[in-house]
Amino acid sequence: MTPAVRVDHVSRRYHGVTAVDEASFALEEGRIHGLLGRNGAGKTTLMRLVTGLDRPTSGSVEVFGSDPFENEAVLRRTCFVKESQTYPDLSVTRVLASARLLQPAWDENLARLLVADFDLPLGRRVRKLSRGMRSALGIVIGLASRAPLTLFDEPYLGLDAPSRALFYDRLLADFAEHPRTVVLSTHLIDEVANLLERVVVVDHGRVVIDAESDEVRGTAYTVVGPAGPVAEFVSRREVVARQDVGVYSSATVRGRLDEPERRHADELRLDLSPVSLQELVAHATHRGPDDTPTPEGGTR
Amino acid sequence: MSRAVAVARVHAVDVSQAVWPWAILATSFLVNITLWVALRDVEGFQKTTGGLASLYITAVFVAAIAVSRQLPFMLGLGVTRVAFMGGSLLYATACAAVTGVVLTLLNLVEGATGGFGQDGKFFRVPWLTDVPTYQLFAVYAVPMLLAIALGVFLSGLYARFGSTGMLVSSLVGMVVVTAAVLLVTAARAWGGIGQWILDLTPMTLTGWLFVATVGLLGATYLVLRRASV
Repeated sequence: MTPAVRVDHVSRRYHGVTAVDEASFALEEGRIHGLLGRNGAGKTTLMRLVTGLDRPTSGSVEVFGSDPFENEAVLRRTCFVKESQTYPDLSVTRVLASARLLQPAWDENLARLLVADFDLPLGRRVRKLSRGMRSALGIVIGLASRAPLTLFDEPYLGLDAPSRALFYDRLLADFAEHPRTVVLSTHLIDEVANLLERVVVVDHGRVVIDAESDEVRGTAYTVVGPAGPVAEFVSRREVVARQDVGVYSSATVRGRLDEPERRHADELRLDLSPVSLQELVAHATHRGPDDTPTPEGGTR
Repeated sequence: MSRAVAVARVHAVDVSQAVWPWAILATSFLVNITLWVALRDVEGFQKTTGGLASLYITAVFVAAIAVSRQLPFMLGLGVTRVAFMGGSLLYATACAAVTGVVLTLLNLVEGATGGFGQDGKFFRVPWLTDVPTYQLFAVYAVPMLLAIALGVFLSGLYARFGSTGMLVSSLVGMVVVTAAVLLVTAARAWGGIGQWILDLTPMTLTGWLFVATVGLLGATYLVLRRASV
């Protein structure tokens, strides 16, 4: 299957600052992808390169098989909802009417439904909307566009938890009926962890994880128990984080466990628990980019 | 092409931007009419005005502001820079055409009513609109296209180079103008230029304004082609 997006050894430098450094990954068609990383990791720059808003300093970007920059056939099939999107100074109704004119797959019924869901005041000017309402407007546009490639760059600024949950619900529901390639950049990883089929984690402009989210989830676990047995159990393993509380110890270890190892942990009366995607990403982006080990199934 | 038409239609959704210059013009017109009536007994009062310029000056700013908002909005929704420029040009041409028609009509009304009963000249500009009726359209429409092109160019310059770029380019502009003045002086060519200005007719001036418009559009293309938004 041809990927919807292929990023090949892409670097982007601005006046000596390297925002993206030799990044390579591919996004398959018809899936929901997470582009994860800390602030300033290069997520937005990557999305701008994919949507042709910017060009790489070196390397190549392909969307639906061709360079997206000034490519009408590609760009008319993309929709990019930015964190702080600039809107024309119009009412919500007119902004939606404008978006409909530019998005060939626009679904007006869905737009109306979402406007009601998010309680958007149609007659109010965008300038007068609260931060959260403006984010909701971006979400309405991004979903109702039904663009074959839809990118959301931290689209939830100022949105409260129920509204964010609403966004994830509506995204999943509409995605089920109209599969398309979705890229969601976020640092609220735990909230979207169940949505994401594949994750690309960037740190300091580099891709540090590029794998199925299920694979990533199994790549580390936490061991909790008395300090002595914990130390014994993790002695020959790669510990990424460790915390001692009195006689108890908690260690986060990279790798997978097989059955004998689980039994061994049982014998030592240790608790094993999987590590959340959020923590894994935190560990992957906590260290320097050079000594980050590649999780199984991932590429560097 | 269909993409450019869509861009033009999005511009048209924002009717307020097209209405602003006319609202300013209407205000200016009302102020002038009031003055003409109030001062109708004053001897030697010149009932001519530069009020018409407010339409074009406002258009420069309206176009600049509209582009600064619409460019990032539309590019996020999958519009190419070239389609944006094509659609914007389409819309600007329509605006200029409407300007040409409306002002020609108002010019004729002003003439037929004896300057609105006050012998005033608001839509008729001495020398510039002293042309056959069929030429009025171009005389009114071309400066509007130039005004919009100037606004779009300034906005594009800002999008591409930021405020530092604006500062540098205005400095460069001043240096170029100063150099040109010195050059003309050194060549003792002021007489020739004066003669050229005296020889201008309203239509040749309009022609030169059109050339300037095309030049600005070309410059805008070069600036926006690589602008990141």
